[in-house]
Amino acid sequence: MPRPGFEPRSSPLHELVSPGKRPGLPSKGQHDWPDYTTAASKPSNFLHRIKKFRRIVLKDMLSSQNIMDMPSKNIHITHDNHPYPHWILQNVFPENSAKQSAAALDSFKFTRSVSDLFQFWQTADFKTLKLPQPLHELYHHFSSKNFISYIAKLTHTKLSSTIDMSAFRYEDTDYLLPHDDQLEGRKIAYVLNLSTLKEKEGGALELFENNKSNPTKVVKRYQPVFNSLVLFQVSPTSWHQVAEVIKKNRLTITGWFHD
Amino acid sequence: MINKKYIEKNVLKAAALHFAQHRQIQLLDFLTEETPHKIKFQHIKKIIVPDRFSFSSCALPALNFSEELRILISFITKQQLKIKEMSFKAFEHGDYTLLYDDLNQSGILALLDVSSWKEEWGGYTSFVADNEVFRLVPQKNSLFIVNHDGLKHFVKYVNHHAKGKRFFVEMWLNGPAEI
Repeated sequence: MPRPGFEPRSSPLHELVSPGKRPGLPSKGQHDWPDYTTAASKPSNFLHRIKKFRRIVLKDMLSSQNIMDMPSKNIHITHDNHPYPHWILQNVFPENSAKQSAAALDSFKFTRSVSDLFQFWQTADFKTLKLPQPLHELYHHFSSKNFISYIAKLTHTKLSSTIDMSAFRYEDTDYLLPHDDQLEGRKIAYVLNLSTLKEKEGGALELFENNKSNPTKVVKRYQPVFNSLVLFQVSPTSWHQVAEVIKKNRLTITGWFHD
Repeated sequence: MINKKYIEKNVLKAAALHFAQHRQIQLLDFLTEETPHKIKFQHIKKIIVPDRFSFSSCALPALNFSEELRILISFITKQQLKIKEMSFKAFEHGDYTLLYDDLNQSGILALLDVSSWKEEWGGYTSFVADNEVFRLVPQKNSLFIVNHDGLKHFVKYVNHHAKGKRFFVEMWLNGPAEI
């Protein structure tokens, strides 16, 4: 059942700046909307009111606990230590929230990234971007004290408040070859799947067994399942790859929790 | 074996000039007969080191036109070259090579491609310094020669659109200073 939180809410701000009634641009023949351009005192008064309402809306948005309840009621968690500790949280967020996050990514600017190791579309880190509301809420949620301590407890890992987050889109033939994710500070890697791919469509997250920290062969394969969160501990043995995507789009929000 | 036009002096001189200016050259319609096809299934073995490469390969002791090839490449590069190493390689869907820190290959590299290929299948050879310097898109029956000093290269992951395998002879040659 859809949960509240991501539904577009009717706010005082909406009422003030509804389409076609933008202040300063009164439509001809419409006199129900005051013409703020003629009186010097009125625009500032109006702006003041907007600012005030923005503060109220923002405060309401940030303090709301029902925006993205965590964990969601249907969450299902599995854990495996082989080939290295990893966790899979299915139905991690309220379905509607996950859907709106995925939809918000549609209008997002992705950059093509191609190298010897990978080929995909990627956004800049979310902290550097002006995010549409569902993604703003998601980012806020992931970097919240509550969520980070939930992840810290689940993974028995000490985490700070630092996170990285960006979105990735893999299209036909895109892939990511073996790497271990190691970079200073990265403790727990996460992949939030915002698409579902069948086995024949590729795109699986594949985990390697290792010999003295060198990857040997793939021993676990996880097909992307919408609204599932995969977590794993970053270490010299955390070798993994993303299998080539076949005629489909694979959409994820990915990053790391830091120590 | 080698197309007669590549034995003509003025063609070779033009090739040498191009090589001096661009450090690489691709010679099309290189062989009169596609000799490498005859050896392609002999002793070829898949080798996979996931964080470095995945392809099939076998060592080649010599080709029946190796000596002609050595002389031709020496002329174009204006160096007295000796063949250091020769192998036959095959890249199929899922194969690739990656760049890594201790990947150090210098000298002259010659690649004799024998398959028809398309860039959008991946499987091309990308030469990099800090960024990609040039890209060799395989052409059937072509010889590519490059001065590899200060460069690294990788073979792009071969994707599911690829029809067949990319086969080529890889030859490393060194000048007297390095012998």
